[in-house]
Amino acid sequence: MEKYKLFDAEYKFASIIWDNEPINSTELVRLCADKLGWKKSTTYTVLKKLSDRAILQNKDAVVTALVKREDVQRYESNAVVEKSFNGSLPKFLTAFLGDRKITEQEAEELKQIIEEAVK
Amino acid sequence: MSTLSGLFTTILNMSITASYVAVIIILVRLLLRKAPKFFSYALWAVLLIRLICPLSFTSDFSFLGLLNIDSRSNSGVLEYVSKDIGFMPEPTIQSGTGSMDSIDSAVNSSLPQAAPIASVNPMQIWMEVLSLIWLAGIVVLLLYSVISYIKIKRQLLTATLVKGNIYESDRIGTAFVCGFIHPKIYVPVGVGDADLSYILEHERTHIQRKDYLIKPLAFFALILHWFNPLMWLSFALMSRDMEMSCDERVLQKMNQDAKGGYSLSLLSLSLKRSGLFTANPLAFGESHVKARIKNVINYKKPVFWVMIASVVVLIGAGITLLSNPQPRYANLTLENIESMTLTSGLDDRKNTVSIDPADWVEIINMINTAKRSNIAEEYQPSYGELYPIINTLTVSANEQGAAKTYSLMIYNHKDWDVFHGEYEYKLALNCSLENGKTELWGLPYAEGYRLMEWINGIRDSKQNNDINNGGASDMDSDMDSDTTDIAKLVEDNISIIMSSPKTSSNPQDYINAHQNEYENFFKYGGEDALQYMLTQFEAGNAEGLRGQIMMRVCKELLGARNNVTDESLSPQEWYSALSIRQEILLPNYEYDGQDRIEKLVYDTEIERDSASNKRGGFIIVAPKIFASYEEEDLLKVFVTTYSARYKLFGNTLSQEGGSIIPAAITYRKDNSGRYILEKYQQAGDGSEFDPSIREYCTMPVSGREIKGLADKIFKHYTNYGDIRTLLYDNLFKHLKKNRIKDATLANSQGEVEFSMSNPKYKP
Repeated sequence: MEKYKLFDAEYKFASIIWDNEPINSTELVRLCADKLGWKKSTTYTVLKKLSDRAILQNKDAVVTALVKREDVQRYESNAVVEKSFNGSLPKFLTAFLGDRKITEQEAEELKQIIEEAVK
Repeated sequence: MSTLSGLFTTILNMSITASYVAVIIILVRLLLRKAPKFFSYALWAVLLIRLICPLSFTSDFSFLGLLNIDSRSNSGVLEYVSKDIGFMPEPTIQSGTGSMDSIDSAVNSSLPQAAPIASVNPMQIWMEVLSLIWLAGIVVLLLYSVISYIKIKRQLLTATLVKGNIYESDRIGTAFVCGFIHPKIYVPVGVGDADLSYILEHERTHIQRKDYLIKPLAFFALILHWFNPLMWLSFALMSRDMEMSCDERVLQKMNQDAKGGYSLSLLSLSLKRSGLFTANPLAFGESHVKARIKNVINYKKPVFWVMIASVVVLIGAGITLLSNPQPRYANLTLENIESMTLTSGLDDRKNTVSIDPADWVEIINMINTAKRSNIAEEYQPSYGELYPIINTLTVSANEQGAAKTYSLMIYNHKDWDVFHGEYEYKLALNCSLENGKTELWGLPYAEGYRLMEWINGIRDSKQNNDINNGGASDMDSDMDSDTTDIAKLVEDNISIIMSSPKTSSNPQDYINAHQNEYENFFKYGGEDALQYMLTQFEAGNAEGLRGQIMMRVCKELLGARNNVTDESLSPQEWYSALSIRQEILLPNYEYDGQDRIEKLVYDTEIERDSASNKRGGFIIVAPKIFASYEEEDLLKVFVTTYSARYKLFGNTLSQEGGSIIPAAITYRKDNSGRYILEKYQQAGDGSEFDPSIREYCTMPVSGREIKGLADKIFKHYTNYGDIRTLLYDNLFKHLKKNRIKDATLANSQGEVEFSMSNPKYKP
């Protein structure tokens, strides 16, 4: 059995199904809204995507999992960002950090500054 | 002038003002380096207001006053690039960098000159093209913003709820706030708990401070001014200051020991970011993260005096950068005047008289009320057909050793109602500066009108003197030529009017076909033409069409002095029945009531009107007093005065002029308790009307705004029946007091407006 790779959100979604299967799709929408804060349309979109990948199945409005929890591997979030996030944040949002990375050298330097300060 | 290029011009002017403001803010930021970043962040608010709000108030403390800019106080927009640039024969801009005139001259020399032959000015085309480019830029940037926002929203659909308004997502690389109405905090998956608490506190602070709304607003302003690189720089710096002051707020909320953890969070999160975020091309100086970490580490609770100093700097910068400079006025004094001459008439029949020093004061006062402003294109004086300049008053002054010449051009701004032969006089004041530049100034309409009346009065009295003195004046040599001139003027114009349309038998058709010639009688002929035509009637030289035309001109020139009301008479019959009504001279109105403030106002208004009245008749005023305020030794009264000048011929009144103008009159109480006129502020005209009234509705000493007063004045101005009634009441009283038993005033339609025998005039 090959390992399936799931994104974080997909994994959380699948978890709800493993915990509650078999589950009526309407009930699933309610649960996702409650636990994940998802809209109905989001739930159905993700459900369809995972059904297409043969991880879940939705038959007569009843959802079941086709793969076991232990056969699934989660993506490293960093890798995910690389794959799925393209482009930068819109300029007008307030973010914790801007769109600029720092070099190794700079990081070292800053580490030292911080250590000096908190001694 | 299309609306688009008009809008673009406004934005362009705002952008230039904002550039000055931005440069100053950047310099003040350096000054506030050691102060809490909150102050630097707050400074940018000034720029934001400047970028979005085209209007501003004026103050003596405006930094922009240091620049060499003409303020257009009437609209509150500083104009470097004139709205009328497309109509200037030689387009120019003024950037206000007085010491760097080279900038202006470089720009100006590159602006295309108007080609008189081409129907459209190349500059106009340029402005249209540039404004289209500007609009295209806005559209592109707005699209980019909307699309990137939609994209990020889509990414966030699968973000999962953590608690409250906090969501985590595996699709994002940094934490941020998203949403305008119910902002939510989105955090990347896999952030450690230690970092998370700091991040959440940071984002919550953003939400508390409404940063998530301020930043898009600032970005929107940036989009409007996208062509201005200084604004991009400002936006980047503002974002920095926003983040740093947010960091400081977080540290205030947590405790001082949080510094280490907080800065480590900043560091670890910026490391986590993988290669997908490319280095920002706008990068300058040390990286954002480094600056922020340093700021966090160096953050201390600010010392009291630093806070005080920062507050002072902030308020100072706010006031000086938000306000526009006061409009500058001409500042002529009697000592500086060297000569004044008045040239009237058009090219082919100019005559110049010099004005006696006794009359200078009045003119100086008038000129000093002129505001520097661009005169709207539709009112530009010209030597051409449309608004011919009929009077030019030239004042040569010597200010601080530099010669200045003011020329006041009084020109007809033809009313739509040309057929009444009525004119609306507009004035433009030209001031040629020592550096060879010429500036166009504008006089408020009411002042202009008074000046015009006054000037005509001077000219009439001068000419009368010349005639009465039988040649004691320097114009005597022209006497004979004057009479032949008048004869020539009348005969030339009559023969042109009679020349066509040959087919008609109605004299009015001939007049309608030659409006300009018909008007010449009133423009250049006046009383002299009347006298000449009456001699023609006397000599029996007024038959047929010629007589009909002359009779019409004479009736109009005589006005209320014409005693013949029967319109069916032939010209010769009319002349036989004519006995020109003699004018009965009356004094000006005098207030005889008990109210001390009313007495002051009446005296001031009468005094002002009679000072500028050189044309005879008597003055009646009717002020409505809205309020009066006394502070210390100043008394300020707010009035709208209906003032009118009448002449009485026999028992017929003729209204010779009038005005209804709001004003604020300030008196100073002297030691003996008498009130002396200190200042008379009058409402401006046209677009200056509202702002000028708002500007003077303030307390006399403290200058605090008096709430609701201006609106009261505006409201009354749209319905001034009360002062009209008062005016007629006063007129009635005045006539009675002067033992006039019967007098009637008719309006232009011939309906009786006022009658002594039946004083129930309509309000």
